[in-house]
Amino acid sequence: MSQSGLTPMTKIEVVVSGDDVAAVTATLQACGASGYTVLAASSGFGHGGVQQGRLLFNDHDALRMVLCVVPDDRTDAVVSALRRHFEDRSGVFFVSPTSVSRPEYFT
Amino acid sequence: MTLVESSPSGLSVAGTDRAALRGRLQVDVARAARLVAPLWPIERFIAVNPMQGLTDRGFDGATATASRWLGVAGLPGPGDARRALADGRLTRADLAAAVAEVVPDVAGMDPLGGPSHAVHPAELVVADLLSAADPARVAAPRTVLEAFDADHGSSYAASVDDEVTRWLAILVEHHHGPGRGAGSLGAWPTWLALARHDRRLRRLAGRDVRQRLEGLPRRADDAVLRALDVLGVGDARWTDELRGQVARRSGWAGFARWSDEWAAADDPAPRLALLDLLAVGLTCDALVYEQLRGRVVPTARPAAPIADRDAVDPDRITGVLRATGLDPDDADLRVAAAAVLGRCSPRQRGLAVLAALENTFRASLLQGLGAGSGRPAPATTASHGSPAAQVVCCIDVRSEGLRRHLEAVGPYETVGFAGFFAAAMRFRPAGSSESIASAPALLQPEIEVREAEVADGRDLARRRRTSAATGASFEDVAHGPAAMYALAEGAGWVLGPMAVGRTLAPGAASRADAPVGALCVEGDGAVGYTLAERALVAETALRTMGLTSGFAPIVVLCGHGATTTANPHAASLDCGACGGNRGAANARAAAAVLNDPAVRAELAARGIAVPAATWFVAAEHDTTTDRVRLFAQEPPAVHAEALRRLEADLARAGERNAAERLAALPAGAGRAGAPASTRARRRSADWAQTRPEWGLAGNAAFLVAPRSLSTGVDLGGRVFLHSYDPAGDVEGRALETILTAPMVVAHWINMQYYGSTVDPQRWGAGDKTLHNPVAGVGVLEGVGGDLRAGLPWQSVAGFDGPRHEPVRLCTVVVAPQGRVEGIIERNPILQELFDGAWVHLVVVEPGSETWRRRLPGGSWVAVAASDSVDGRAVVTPSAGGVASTEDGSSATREVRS
Repeated sequence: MSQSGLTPMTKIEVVVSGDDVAAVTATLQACGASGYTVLAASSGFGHGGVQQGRLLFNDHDALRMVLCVVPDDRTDAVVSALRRHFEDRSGVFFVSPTSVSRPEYFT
Repeated sequence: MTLVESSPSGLSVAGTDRAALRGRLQVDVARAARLVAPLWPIERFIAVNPMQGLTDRGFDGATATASRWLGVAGLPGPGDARRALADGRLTRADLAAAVAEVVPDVAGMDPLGGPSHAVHPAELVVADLLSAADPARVAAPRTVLEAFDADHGSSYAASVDDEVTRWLAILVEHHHGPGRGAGSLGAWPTWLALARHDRRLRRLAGRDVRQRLEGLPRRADDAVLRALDVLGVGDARWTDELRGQVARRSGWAGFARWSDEWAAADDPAPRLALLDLLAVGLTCDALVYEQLRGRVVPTARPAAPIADRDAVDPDRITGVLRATGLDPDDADLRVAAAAVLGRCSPRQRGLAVLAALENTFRASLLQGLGAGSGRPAPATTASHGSPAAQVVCCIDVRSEGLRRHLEAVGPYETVGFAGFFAAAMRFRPAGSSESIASAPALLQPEIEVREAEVADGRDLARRRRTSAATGASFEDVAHGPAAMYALAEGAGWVLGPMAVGRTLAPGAASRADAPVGALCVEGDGAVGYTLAERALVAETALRTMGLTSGFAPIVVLCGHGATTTANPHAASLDCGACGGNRGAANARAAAAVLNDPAVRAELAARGIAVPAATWFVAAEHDTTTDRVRLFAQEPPAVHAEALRRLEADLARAGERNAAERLAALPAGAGRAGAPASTRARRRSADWAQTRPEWGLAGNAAFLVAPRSLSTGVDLGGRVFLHSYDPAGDVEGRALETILTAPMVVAHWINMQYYGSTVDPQRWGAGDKTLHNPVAGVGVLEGVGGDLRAGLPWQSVAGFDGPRHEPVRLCTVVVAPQGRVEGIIERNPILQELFDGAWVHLVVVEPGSETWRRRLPGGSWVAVAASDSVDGRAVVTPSAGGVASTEDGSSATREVRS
């Protein structure tokens, strides 16, 4: 427990096509993540050029972001699995330290 | 990363390592799953590309991968070429040109023979192709147990497959799924609890199997890891072993993909997790392998790729030299011929047949649309006449005939748009406690639209509840493995005479139109749409279909459905844009939205002024009977006469369309003298009829253009027609929507028919007459085996061979080329489809006479006039319509720019 009363953990942010969301969330859970959040309509510009966030009649092919917070001791498992996922799938993921107020939700 | 240690109780590695192993396994499971497409429950059949998980490899790579793992042909074969040659769709010159296109090495080789009789190498390949048998499937081992069988001449893997598929049917039908209650277990723990009583498994895996089962992990992923360890599969080969497992039961794996990736949380259908399937399959393999390992030397090894075997033997060389008029005894010629044939593999020959079929179809289509005629492409959908009504039909290829005939019988304009009319919803019929997703599979609708109780609503609701409950009970009993016999005993005295009646007089059993209640489209966004949502539905629909001005007094929104009997694949004939359901509900919802004064006011504020006198009315085209039902319960008095004329003209158009369709169906003539509509109705009610209609067989193109481009052209029911107004879509939003959604769905449908035609056994559902339904899931062929994906053979073929021509979708767009390129650049899904050669793209600028084809990678080639398809028109100007070509003699060819 830190001085502020928050518990340090690791935040994983994954940006993938809607087609890969099920595979990514299943992987996170297999690695011991207790939950995740999926944000639809992720748009922007990057390695692949302009990325449309939202398609009018197609929820499946637009980009989505998967957010997940795990205890630090599960980070390596998640990172290892996601690196393997991205060996042959498009997308990116970010890992950063974070703090949570209800650690029991994430263990 | 391998298991350091395993024990009968499961994995004994540290917790962190276990999490890493499970995570890595899950990634490999997802990789393996991509070998198969998701398979929707058959009651909501959704056509899907059987290589849907492999699209990132491009068409060539995906077919090669599918061939290697699933043993599919993947491409049209010599038989398809011979049939096309025999019925005049192809010439030898078409095939030779396609060979030169597919195998540039051959194109660059010198002709064989002397000046008096020079034969181009491509012609030699064509002669070889036409005399070849369809490539034999080589069953290369894909899993450890298959490799063991290959080495020892045993058949353990086949026995395990029988055992596993039998279990999967039982587990899914009786023990799993949301409908079985919150406490229902997954398929793996359920199997683990029950398998100890399985005598067949004991015979297969040994008498001590019960004790060995008791020690297995309760988690499916841990069970998979344990089985991989027992089978000696190191982590570097997990993906391949898992792919092999998926391939050995690809139908069930497809259903598992749907369960894992596509099923909504509250979907009432049974479920099967892919991890559970793999745990059962791999554990059975491991249980058998454990027994064998003590008796023989283990032979675990990587699955060998399926070889592209095609030796150039002397007889083959003699045959092609003779067929091309060359001397088969000339030693130099024999060497040269061997060199030519050696450069063209069976895969390349298949690609050449495919290219020939596609090139010929595309040339004929573009000729029909006016390419090379000097006629500029239309720039707008703006109406120049005063139509009595505008009829908006689904883009489904079956609408094309009805639209053509309706335009010919009266002053009507027709429009093409996805048949859910932008009203994505969960529809809850009166009297039902459940709602169904009525929207394209690419959408996950959340807004529920309910059918209201009306004056006789109680009766209607009660009838539907009784009918649904009776039907559900009957289905449950009829499909139960033991209860079906009791049903035959108990209810046979009623069902027997009904069966005789249906057999002797099929038309008499068909039901009259069911009454409908009004739809409550207004609501809070959870049940019913808010005003903002209704306005968005209306604006999106009108702008995307290019109907923003020139409204007729009556605008019909015409959905579609099919009436068939004793047909497990009935949903495959309903509307794909409505999630495999009949389309009337969406049409009724959209009409209600567009007639709403508050919505009209919102539309006016957004620049779309719908005249107060314009009235939207819903309809449904029954594609099996060609009857169009109008849902006009309370028509405004001012429209009554026009509506009566419209109804009569729809009946006339339907009669003509039915006659046209029946002429193309096996035994379509029926009883002499009966009107076509009567014959079609009898056919739809005939429970012995395996081909009630052709469905979307023949589909080959997707046209995005003002209707005036194709008015009067008989497109033979082969083209998805989406209306588009290039002048009203400067920012390209409508076109982007059309290409990223309706075109994607059309591509899925196109590839579903393609797969079911080129490999009816692995990508198709096989023989319809042998189908045995697994309730709520799909069909088996016969009493066992894998779940069958795809379409039945009777859906794509007649008695004399395939009706469907296996070609990839050709999308034709009337729009500025730069607009199209911009849309492709910002949508990876379009790059994947066009650059991966899943879909061909042709663009003509509005007002231009220059048609260009986009090649994979983004370069463009101009399409110019030629005579390459003379006399072999696939699409033709229809009598009484506006001829699409001025002299009928010009076709198209391509010139690289």
